[in-house]
Amino acid sequence: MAFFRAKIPALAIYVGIFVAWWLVTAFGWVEPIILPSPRAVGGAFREMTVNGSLLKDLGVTGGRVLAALVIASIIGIPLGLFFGYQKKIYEMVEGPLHALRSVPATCLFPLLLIVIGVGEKSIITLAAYPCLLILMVNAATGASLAEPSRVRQGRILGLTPFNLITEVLFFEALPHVTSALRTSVSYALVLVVAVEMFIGVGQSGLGRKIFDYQSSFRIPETYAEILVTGALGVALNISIGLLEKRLLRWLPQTANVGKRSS
Amino acid sequence: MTIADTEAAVEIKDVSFSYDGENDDHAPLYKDFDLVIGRARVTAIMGASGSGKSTLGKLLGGELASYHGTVTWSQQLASELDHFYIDQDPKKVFFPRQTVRENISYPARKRRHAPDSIDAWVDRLLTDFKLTAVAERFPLFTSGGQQSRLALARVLSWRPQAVILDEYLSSLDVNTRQLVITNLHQIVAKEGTTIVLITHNLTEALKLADRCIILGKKPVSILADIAIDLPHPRDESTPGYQDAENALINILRHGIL
Repeated sequence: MAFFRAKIPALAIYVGIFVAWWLVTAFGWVEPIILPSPRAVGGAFREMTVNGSLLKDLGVTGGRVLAALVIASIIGIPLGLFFGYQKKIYEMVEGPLHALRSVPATCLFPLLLIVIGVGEKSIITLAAYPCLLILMVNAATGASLAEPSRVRQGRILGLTPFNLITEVLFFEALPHVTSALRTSVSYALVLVVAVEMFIGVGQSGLGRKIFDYQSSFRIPETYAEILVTGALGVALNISIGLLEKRLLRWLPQTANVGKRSS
Repeated sequence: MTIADTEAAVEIKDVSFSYDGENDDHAPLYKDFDLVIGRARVTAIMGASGSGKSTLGKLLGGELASYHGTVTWSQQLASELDHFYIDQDPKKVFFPRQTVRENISYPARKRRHAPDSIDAWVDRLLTDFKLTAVAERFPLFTSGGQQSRLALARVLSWRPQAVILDEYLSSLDVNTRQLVITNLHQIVAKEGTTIVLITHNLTEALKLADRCIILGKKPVSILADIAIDLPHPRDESTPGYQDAENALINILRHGIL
């Protein structure tokens, strides 16, 4: 019961927003072309769920976001840990890396189209790119902030450089990496949806559908797709939160050991 | 018992060191400092705060990067694992991501010991340091005293020839302090481990040490070097304890003030 009591104010706000939505549409204060009624959006949602198109869009977009995150992690985290281990090399590349990170990823999209071509690959590459940089920089920072005594102990226990990275530095960097993952998830979703609006590979994906429905003035469907995209974002954030909790179960929330960055 | 009659564990010769770097005008913390520490004994290093006790510990543990002079460990203690400095902060010694049990078994596994002998050895250390109840917990979720005991148990797991304990016993609560003192005395007596005990606490030195060195301030000098030749286990009623205590109090009072 305590759980529900704590959630009541939060729930009340959602209910309030819904009631306000219903009111402004029911009394015709807003044109349906700008904001359709909850009933119309619900109908569109039901129809797209029944014919399976919504689930397909969700799967396609979600899959692209996950693919981008996995690729970015597989390349970015080990590379960052290596840089954290070889600080001399990192110092050399740090400047260009930060400069690269400041270039909006979307700027590179036209170039990617030339290099990779229009297709699944260019969508995932564009989304993976900034995530890779974020993960790499954070892994490098985390690894270079590793407690020197523990690193030294690993070394004198005879760990090879590879094991030193996987068994010591990886865990020292983990609090930084998980917070980088949180940032990356948002980036990946934004970029995938935006690029889907540009190029419709296979004519599916939430971004593509939002754009298409809007172009054909099917506003309730547009809203349904937007709401599902939002739900996907929420679900991804919750998943990352759970993953973080699991990976850092050895670290109390108040501990200063990992110097958690936000 | 005089100091010179045991085999040397480590010899510090002509050591000069300063935290300010090479080009300072101030007097260095250490200047042409010499000290020989005997093997298989407990040597307490005492002195006021800022007297350079911890620096000496780090010097012995190989944690100081740049100093002049030589620190020579005898052949059997020469490996870095065999003269390990246990930091005042136990978090620097254990790995937070491993459970208490994993923390103790990890060094042994890395040293490629047989798995079945590791399990028995780990269980013994857990018992000896009263950590069995928290064996499956992650160390940052245990008490400060348990963390300190874990740090020592982890280091002892690889059976080092010498350990340097920096203000270690003061981090323990009264009940476990006696337990750890007994354990440390046991490993010195049975395994011939060399212990350097850096402390500002007279009682700790009196209870455990065979020899007590009192450091004077900048540049560090040896104010007194006293053998504490009392039977174990020691407490206030041990014959000779009060005399040794009075002698130390005298020196500390005159040396520091």
